[in-house]
Amino acid sequence: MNVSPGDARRARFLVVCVALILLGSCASRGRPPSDVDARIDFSLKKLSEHPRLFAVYTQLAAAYLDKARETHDPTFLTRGRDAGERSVAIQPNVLAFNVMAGLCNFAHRFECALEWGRRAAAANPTDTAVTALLVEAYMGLGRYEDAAKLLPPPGVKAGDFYTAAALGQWLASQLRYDEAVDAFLDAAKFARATGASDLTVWAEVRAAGALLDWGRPGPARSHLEAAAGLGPGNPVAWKMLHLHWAEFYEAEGQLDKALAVYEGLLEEQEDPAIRHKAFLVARWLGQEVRAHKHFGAAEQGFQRVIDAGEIYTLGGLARLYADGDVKIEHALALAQRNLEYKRDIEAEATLAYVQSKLWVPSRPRISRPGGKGKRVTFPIFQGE
Amino acid sequence: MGLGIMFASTRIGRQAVGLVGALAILLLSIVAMRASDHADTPFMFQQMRSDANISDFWVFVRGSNLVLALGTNPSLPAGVMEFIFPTDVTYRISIDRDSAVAFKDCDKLAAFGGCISKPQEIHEDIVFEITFDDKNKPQLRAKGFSADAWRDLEGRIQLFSGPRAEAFIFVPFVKFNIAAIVLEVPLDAIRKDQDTLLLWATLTVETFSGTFQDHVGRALRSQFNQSLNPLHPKFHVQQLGVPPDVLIFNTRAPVKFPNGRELGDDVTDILAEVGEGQARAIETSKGDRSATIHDVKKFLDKFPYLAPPQ
Repeated sequence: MNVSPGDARRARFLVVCVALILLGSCASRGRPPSDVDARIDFSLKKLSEHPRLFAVYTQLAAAYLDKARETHDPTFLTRGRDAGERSVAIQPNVLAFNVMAGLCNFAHRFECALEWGRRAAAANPTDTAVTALLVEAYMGLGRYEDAAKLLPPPGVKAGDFYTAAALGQWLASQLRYDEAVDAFLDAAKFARATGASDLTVWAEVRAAGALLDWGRPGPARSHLEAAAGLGPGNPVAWKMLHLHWAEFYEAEGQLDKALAVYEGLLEEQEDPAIRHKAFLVARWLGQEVRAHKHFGAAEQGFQRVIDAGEIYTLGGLARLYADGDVKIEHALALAQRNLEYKRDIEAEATLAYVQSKLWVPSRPRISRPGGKGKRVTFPIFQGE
Repeated sequence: MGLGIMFASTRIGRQAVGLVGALAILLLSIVAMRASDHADTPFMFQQMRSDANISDFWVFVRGSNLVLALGTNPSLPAGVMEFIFPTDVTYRISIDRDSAVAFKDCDKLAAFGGCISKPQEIHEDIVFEITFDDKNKPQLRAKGFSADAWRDLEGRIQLFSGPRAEAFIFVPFVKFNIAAIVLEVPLDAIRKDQDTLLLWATLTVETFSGTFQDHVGRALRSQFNQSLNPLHPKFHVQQLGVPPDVLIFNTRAPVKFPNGRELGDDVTDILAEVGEGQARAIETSKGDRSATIHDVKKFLDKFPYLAPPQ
């Protein structure tokens, strides 16, 4: 049988991919089962028998938020909001305020998250988890100084997991990666002390993420391995870990491995952001057909969210088009609209990136505080 | 590699991160709260059933009546003037009125109010059971009375349910409300052959496994030993090696924790003074935020005695 060089190359590639997946050093190993459908079913059944259980409406809202995270189906966000609002209508309660703030943050409706977060904080001022939600909302609005006011002052360590996690997020946003890593590792220590392995995974992976953003993949590896050693746990934490492994491989130039991880994740669950990453990597590998397939699926996934009236994929779709050098005018409109809701550095950078494709000179370079009092220009302009 | 990789490589994993944080928040934030019997059932909080959580249990006397006050759903926000009680929960206040309790030569007197001679024989002589219908009206049933006795007694019982100002003396909590159930019954209908009662309260959620999911006896017990929660007090010594978690109340002696629990008894102060380490830890954590009786909203001179919601 004659085999073309292209076929042979593809065959070898497939063998490598399968081997990587089977070896499973970091490739998707089969995500842990999700209990979110069971939680939804349980809550709905309970409510059919006891329609005024406000706490179960809160339960349901939280489950729908998890379902939205897992599936990227925006209809679950609507259901989550409805359930949360129903809970509050029956009985104002702190947990529902928290869930609503979480829903709003997920949906990139940060003003909404601030409203609910403030209600939660007023009802429970010592709850640092609420503080973390508020920090996320402020950061989403680009109000970094307001976020900083909720965090320990310089030189003071965080006293609990949520404060440490929020501090790490804030420091990373300020490109103070060394301090961010320390904060995430503090968060990991707090999580370990309470036996919360999923939160420990989160914190270790975040530390790795900060190191990757810093351009230091080597040290990132040990944190990813530490996280992997804690077992599969929660499906969202599992996915997060594998995503960071993929980014680690990218940073190391091991694009085949990175693509294998992304595609393994996509087999478990469709996700337009992962499709976007897979598109980029496939394109870098010169696999145009594969890249095209991933691009199309990413576009569809992002657009589906927007068609449902949500706005949290505006930036994602704008970046996808810019990366693909297609529909740039439309990407500009998406990026500008994204900025109406999300006003952080990432949203600003998305707009700047799209504009760079159009060679629109009107916006200045973005600069913001970096570590040790320096100001740094956002990395995307380094290539210019 | 170009701008694409520089840009695209940053955020995908980090986007997912905030979401995991928010998820985790919901599971752990409530467990971090502390108080007399607050947040001692991680399972209930994982199920997000903050409405099905006992926070405190007071037992005191007013005139010739016994008052039993249950605090539930701690950290009800200030400004809440109505509380919709869960319709799938049964609250039970149990009373053992004939277990022997020693007060002399008892090494547990200062911390527990007495020494129960036969803890394995603790049993409910009387149970007051409260549920709520879909109109939020409390339904009271009782076990341990004859039909005639109950008919005679029922009209003399006062029952209150609704939001009340937090009465646990602890600064982080004093501005909140609780969902309270208060029962006032003639003491003579409860006492039988002896003056000392053992009291405890439980909460059962329909469809959850186990006879009950939350338990309260003496303050600051199941808070620090959550294994107490799903077990009947008669098993506490046998299975856990600890004194049974009940509130001992010698009705002929003044009410002062741990002999019953009067509104205004600062249980953490009292237990810290007698050397209970965990109470001491709470006291220490108060730091310069120590609360006194003056920090909680003033109690009422009349039923239901707990202050209106704030």
